[in-house]
Order: sequence, then C-alpha cells, then structure tokens
Amino acid sequence: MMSFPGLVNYPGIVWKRACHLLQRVSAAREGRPRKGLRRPSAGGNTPAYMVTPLLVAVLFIAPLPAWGGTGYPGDETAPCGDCHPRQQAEFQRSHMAMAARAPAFLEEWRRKGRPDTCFACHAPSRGAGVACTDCHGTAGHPYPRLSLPAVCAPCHDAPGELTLRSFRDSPAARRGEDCLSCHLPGEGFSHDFRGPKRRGFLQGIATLTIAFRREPAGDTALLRIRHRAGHALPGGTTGRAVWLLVEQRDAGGRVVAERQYRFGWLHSSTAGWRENSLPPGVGKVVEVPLHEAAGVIRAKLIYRFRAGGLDRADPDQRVLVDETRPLAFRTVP
Amino acid sequence: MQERNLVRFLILIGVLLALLGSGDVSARWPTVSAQQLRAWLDAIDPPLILDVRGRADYRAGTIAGALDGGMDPRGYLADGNGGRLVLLLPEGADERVTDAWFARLANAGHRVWILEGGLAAWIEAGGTTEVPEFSYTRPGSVPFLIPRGLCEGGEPSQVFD
Ligand code: HEC
Ligand code: HEC
Ligand code: HEC
Ligand code: HEC
Ligand code: HEC
Repeated sequence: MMSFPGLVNYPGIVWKRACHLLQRVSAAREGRPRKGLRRPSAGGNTPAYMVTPLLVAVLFIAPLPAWGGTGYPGDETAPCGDCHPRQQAEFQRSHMAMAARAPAFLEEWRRKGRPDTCFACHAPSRGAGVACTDCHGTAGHPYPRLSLPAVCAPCHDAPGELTLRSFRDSPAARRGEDCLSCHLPGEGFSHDFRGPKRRGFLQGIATLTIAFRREPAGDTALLRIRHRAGHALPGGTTGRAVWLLVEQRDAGGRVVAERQYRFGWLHSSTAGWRENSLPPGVGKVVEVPLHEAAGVIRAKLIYRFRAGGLDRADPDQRVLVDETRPLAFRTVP
Repeated sequence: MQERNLVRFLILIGVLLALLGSGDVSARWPTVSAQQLRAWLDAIDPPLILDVRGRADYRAGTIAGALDGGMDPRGYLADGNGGRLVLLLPEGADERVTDAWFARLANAGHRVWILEGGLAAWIEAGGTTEVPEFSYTRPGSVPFLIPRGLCEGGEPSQVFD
C-alpha cells in the first residue's frame, strides 16, 4: 500500500454534507422519492430491475424478507447501475469512469511496459476506470457517508501533485466550498464529475491584467494572471501545464521579443522537484521589459494536457486568454 | 437628557475636526483595513493591489499578487479595465503624492482604497508576503524530465532560466 501524507478531514464540510444527506433521507422516509434513485416501493414508479425475471420472481415469492425493513434491496451483488441509473449514467460522462481506457493512458502505459502500479488510481477495481466502490467502499448498504476531500486524496494528492494541499489554503476553501462545488455543480449529488476536458469548463477561468510602468531605465509590461480554480492552476498532475506566451512586435509587424513562461511542475536530476504552478486567489505577476522598437504586445495563456514542451502536439489544448495591447503611449512625444 | 446628547454631538464634531486637521489618511481618502483586505482577497473577484513603495521594497517582499507600479504616478499606465484597486503606499507617504496617485488611478477608471497602516499592518494582521520572481523558460534549452508526478513517468521538456 502507498501512504498519502496529510489526509485531513473537514468536520465543517462533512457536517454540511451530513445535514444535507439527513434531509434527503428523511425526505425519502416521508415517501418523497430521492431524485434519480428508483426505490423498490409498492406502486408509483416501476423499479428498473423489475424487468429481470429472476428478481420479479424473488419479489413475488418473498417480498417482505427481501427488504427486511431496512429500506435496502436484498441483492447486493447486482450492478450498482441497476438501482442507481442516474448516478451510473452521469458518472459515465466523467473521464474518471474510463481512466484506464483513455488512449493517452494506454499509450503511456504500454510504452512503460504495462506496469501494474498505474491501476492503483486509474482502475483500482480493474474495470474500465474508477468504479463506484472505489469511492464508496465495499461495505455494502448502508454505505458510510463520504468525507471530502479525504475521499479524493488517495488519487488526487500524491508526491509531485498538490491539488488537495493547495485547495486547503485557497479562498474557495475559506469560502466554505469543496471539490464538488466546482466539479459536481447542481443539486442532489450528481455524479457528472467535470474536469478541464469538458467543453466550456475552462471558459473564463483565467484573467490577465496588463499594465505598464515607465521609468528612465526603460518601459516594463506588468502582467498579472488570476484564475478561479479552487487550487493551483493547473490542478492535477505534473503533465498538465499552463503556458504564458508574450510577444512584442514593431510597427512593421516583425517580432522583436518573445518570452515563454511555463506554470506547472518541473523536475531535474540535480534540483529535484520544483513547483511553479499558479496559486489560487492572489494570482501571479510577471514583468516583461519592453523592447525599444516594440509597438504592440500580445499575451496568450494556454492550458495544455500533455507533458513536454510546446512543440509536442496536444489536441485538447485550450487558449484561456489572448490579449493584444498597442503601446500607443510610446509614440506620444 | 437632551443636553447630554448635545454634548455627545459636539464631542463627535470635535473628533472629526481633529482627524481632518491631523491629516489622517482615513479622513481624506477611502481606506481599507488589513483585516478587511484579507476578506476581500478571498472573494470571487478580489481587488488589484498596487505597490508604489519602489523597486527595492517591492523586491524585498510584498503582498502576493501585487504589481510594482513604480514611485511616480505619471509613469504608471493602468490596465484599461478599471475595477477595485488597493494602494500600498510607502510609510509616511506625502499627501501630494497620495493625491497624485488617486487622481491618476481614478482617471483610469479604478475605485481606489488605501491600505491602512501599509505593509506593517498587513503583516501584523497575519497577512503573508511574497518575494516576486519572474523566471521564464528558455525555448530549446537542454531537455530534461518533467515526470507526470503522481503517475511516476518521464517526459522531456524545458529548463527554468
Ligand atoms: C469519485 C468518487 C465517487 C464515485 C466513483 C462514485 N460516487 Fe457516489 N457519491 C460520491 C459522493 C462524494 C457522494 C455524496 C456524499 C455521500 O453521499 O457520501 C456520493 C453519493 C452517492 C449516492 C447517494 C446519492 C444521494 O442522492 O443521496 C449514491 C446512491 C451513489 N453515490 C451511487 C454511486 C454509484 C452507483 C456510483 C457508480 C456509478 C458512484 N456513486 C460512484 C462520490 C462518488
Ligand atoms: C437492488 C438495488 C440496489 C443495488 C444493486 C445497489 N443499490 Fe445502492 N441503494 C439502493 C436503495 C434502494 C438505496 C436507498 C436507501 C434509502 O433511501 O434509504 C440505496 C442507497 C445507496 C447509497 C446512499 C447511502 C446509503 O447506503 O443509504 C449509496 C452510496 C449506494 N446506494 C451505493 C451503491 C453502490 C456503490 C452499489 C453497487 C456496489 C449499489 N448502491 C447497489 C438500491 C440499490
Ligand atoms: C480511485 C482513484 C480516484 C479517486 C478516489 C478519485 N479520482 Fe478523480 N480521477 C482519477 C483519475 C485516474 C482521473 C483521470 C481520468 C482521465 O483523465 O482519464 C480522475 C479525474 C478526475 C477529474 C477530471 C474528470 C474529467 O472528466 O476530466 C475530476 C474533476 C476528478 N477526478 C475529481 C475527483 C473528486 C472530486 C474526487 C473525490 C470525490 C475524486 N476525483 C476521486 C482517479 C480518482
Ligand atoms: C472553485 C472551483 C474549484 C474547486 C473548489 C476545486 N476545483 Fe478542481 N478544478 C477547477 C478548475 C477551474 C480546474 C481546471 C483548471 C485546472 O487544472 O486547475 C480544475 C481542475 C482539477 C483537476 C485536473 C483534472 C485534469 O483532468 O487535469 C483535478 C484532478 C481537480 N481539479 C480536483 C479537485 C479536487 C480533488 C478538489 C477538492 C480538493 C477540487 N478540484 C476543488 C475548479 C475547482
Ligand atoms: C496516484 C494515482 C495515480 C497513479 C499511480 C497513476 N496515475 Fe495517471 N493520473 C492520475 C490522475 C488523478 C490523473 C488525472 C489528471 C490529473 O489529475 O492531472 C491522471 C492522468 C493520467 C494521464 C493523462 C490522461 C489524459 O487523458 O490526459 C495519463 C496518460 C496517465 N495518467 C498515465 C499513467 C500511467 C501510465 C501510470 C502508471 C505508470 C499512471 N498514470 C499512474 C492518477 C494516477
């Protein structure tokens, strides 16, 4: 077993969820069906598994002992999706459900000689990806309530990664938000976990402020990057990176100066790990000296999924911000 | 009863006059306390912080995310988008300089507050400071490893400058 340092429970968050859950359970007890859950009740809506002749027979012959008064079905071996079709369908939309079938994963896994260790996170139950029981456990009904973000930590907090650690010290955490506020928006514990690969998820998450400072020694562009993620940007592993490309052109449109900044993790054999991601909240400032011939400056912020340099193709790459500013103040006599 | 209220009122007026007379920052310009600023920075849309204490002070440590606006208001060209801005002034800043900064920033569309007590108050209120660092990546520099971190892999990329 691996060990994951710094696992912390958040009593406040757990409590909030607990209250939420209690309300929902009592709603269910009062006979109001829980959203997305097909309850095996008499009358009303028909349970999905009724179509299975075997179950119909079981229900017909011994309906009472099967429920035993607990409110849970007797057959713990049936696939979770039989009774929780909403969670099942929603979870299928998340990349987590297919984490061990993703082309990018398979490519890297094969290249590295198909190591078993990869599945500790990509498919602990050896299915196509993360499974229901990888989060909920195998204890069966009644399942213990999950505490956030501890339940995400085994896979999202590890050496070389700091999603959880940076979340703990983030404005989002201080505002009382948790992982689900952003990654599972909406009511009723949807299971449609969304990440940066989802269309539109990265829309508007970063902003760029561009100001200038004029001094006798020369002009400087002041760039401030800010983002809305509840943890460092990029969240997730070292492979992800955010690049800032700054380009200066002269009146004739020729590039006179160019700089690249990479935010994410780096590793060198001599210096070891180096973390350089964009912290949540306050953001990051970058100063760029202006070339004396520059008449326009362009700053572009790019989110990349693949490890490696900019020259490596990344079909999922997204431009977060693209701003151009004429340096009109320089031509004024 | 009414007399006492009148006395209170007069005392209040006196205090206000004294504040104005003493040139206290809070009486002339809108200010924000360090504690309040910390709360603002946790909001979804925090203000921009402009440090105008000068290069050396800025480089020695400033509020994370603050821009170095230089010491001369005429040399600072704001981002055209305006918005809230908190000014980090040098200790014992001159009134005329403060006025000039206010005019400059208000003209650029900013709503401006002064951080009460400057950086000292910020640190006292438990705020952290940061030494700004502007390193960048040199394209084409000797490739070295950017492992996938928790995925324990290895990918070639570029070096820090
Ligand atoms: C990535 C972790 C994760 C995975 C994988 C996961 N869940 Fe959940 N599930 C949660 C969280 C978090 C909650 C809300 C907190 C709680 O109930 O403990 C939850 C709640 C639930 C609930 C209670 C919902 C309610 O409305 O009260 C059900 C039922 C459920 N999950 C079923 C499933 C099923 C079925 C699967 C597989 C398709 C699954 N879960 C996969 C994290 C997960
Ligand atoms: C035969 C139907 C059935 C199957 C199969 C089933 N569940 Fe449930 N499950 C239920 C019902 C009914 C409830 C609601 C109980 C309630 O509302 O009191 C429930 C509740 C839950 C809850 C909420 C917490 C709790 O225990 O009350 C979770 C989490 C959950 N199921 C997960 C799973 C997982 C994971 C699987 C697969 C390993 C699974 N279920 C398989 C019917 C089923
Ligand atoms: C068993 C390990 C495991 C657990 C536990 C786990 N995750 Fe994941 N998660 C993964 C893996 C592996 C991926 C990468 C999937 C991919 O991109 O192929 C992932 C991806 C994601 C994504 C991106 C999804 C997308 O569609 O792009 C989000 C968001 C996420 N996880 C949130 C969470 C949250 C929140 C929790 C806790 C409630 C959690 N995860 C628990 C393994 C896990
Ligand atoms: C305030 C919103 C917010 C909160 C809270 C939040 N996230 Fe994120 N998360 C984002 C955004 C936006 C991104 C996409 C940009 C990035 O990579 O940081 C993201 C990206 C991620 C990724 C990268 C997935 C991938 O495929 O690269 C993971 C993993 C992740 N978050 C997990 C978590 C976990 C676990 C928590 C709770 C500890 C959490 N997030 C809390 C907004 C949030
Ligand atoms: C400690 C948990 C963990 C282990 C072990 C792990 N991964 Fe991952 N991996 C993740 C998570 C979480 C993500 C989701 C992206 C993120 O968080 O940045 C991911 C993402 C990836 C991606 C990017 C997927 C995409 O669609 O962009 C690849 C490729 C990958 N892993 C390959 C591997 C390989 C190969 C191994 C084994 C050598 C491995 N991983 C082991 C947790 C893990």
